[in-house]
Amino acid sequence: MIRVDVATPEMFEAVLPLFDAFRNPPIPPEHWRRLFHYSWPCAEPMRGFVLKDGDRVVGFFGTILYERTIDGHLEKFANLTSWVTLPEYRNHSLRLFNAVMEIKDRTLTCHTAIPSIDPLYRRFGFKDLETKWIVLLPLPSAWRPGGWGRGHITMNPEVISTELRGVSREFFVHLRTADCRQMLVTWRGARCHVVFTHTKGRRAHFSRIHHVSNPEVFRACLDHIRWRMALRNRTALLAIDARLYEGPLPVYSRETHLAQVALYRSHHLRPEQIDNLYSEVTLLGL
Amino acid sequence: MNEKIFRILADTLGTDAAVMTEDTSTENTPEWDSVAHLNLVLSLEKAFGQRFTPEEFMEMQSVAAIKRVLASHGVS
Repeated sequence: MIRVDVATPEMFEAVLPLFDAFRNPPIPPEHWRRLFHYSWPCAEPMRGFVLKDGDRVVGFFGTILYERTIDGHLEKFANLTSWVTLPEYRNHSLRLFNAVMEIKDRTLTCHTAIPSIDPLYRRFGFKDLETKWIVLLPLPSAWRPGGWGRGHITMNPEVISTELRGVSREFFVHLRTADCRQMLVTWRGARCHVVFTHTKGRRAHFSRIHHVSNPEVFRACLDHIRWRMALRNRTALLAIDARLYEGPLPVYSRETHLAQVALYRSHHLRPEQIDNLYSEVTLLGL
Repeated sequence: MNEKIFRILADTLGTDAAVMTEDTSTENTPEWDSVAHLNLVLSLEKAFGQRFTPEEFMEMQSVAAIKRVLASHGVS
């Protein structure tokens, strides 16, 4: 009998073969494990849903659960990840989708909805979350001499751990073992915590920024940040989610509309209140 | 109504409407995979001016089932 069950952390080993069957290039098992064993506190054991034929796991739809305080309110999220079903059970895969859509008490986010599935999400109440990036070359501005050296930047985890306070330090600790990188920018006594990944694009690899704790410091030190990030990641381009960057476009940059947009469903949150920090993007380094 | 359903099926799956019958289903139509199914049900919603529940999305996996669900919405 084919049925849908809640996925729990203990099911990781049973679900792992599904990931191996579908991911190309393969992602190491220890990375997939992050979807089941979080590095942050989570009272709920749910990690998504499994489709089972008897005792055999034949499908999976993952949810990464986390909470954030936004405008003084505790908000609950579920980032949707990895909807996979063995070919002979594809006619049952919508049962997994149905189970996920029944999650009513959380804001749902989806960063990897392929274009063919996009209309389905929208049909069930999802809207645009991340639609465009600002793409920058790692070049200093010629008419802002010295900008390329503005601020102090460290990517040393020990130093960042010591310097950060409050919620930024929590982010740092929770994501320290994830497949993302972290940077601390200090300028005129103010700090900016930046989280970024090394992303493999179809035509080029690039650095992608997911979190900026202090937009003012970030903008002021951008020339410095972009060449340091490019050097650290060995990438020629830097992409910033346009929601994270206010004001006129920086020099040597342009806006790019995404072919595969991120989506979300929420009763009350706006796109600019949601970031990618606790998502498959940072956990798996996508 | 059969003709309209067959035409939507053929357009969505890229197959010939002439070979469709009441028995056409996901079981005997290789082109009718999970992604095609989603697009098919969304096309049916648009064509018949209906909104289906997730359960109905899953149920509509044959021409006969599609007609049954449409009938439950008062479409015949």
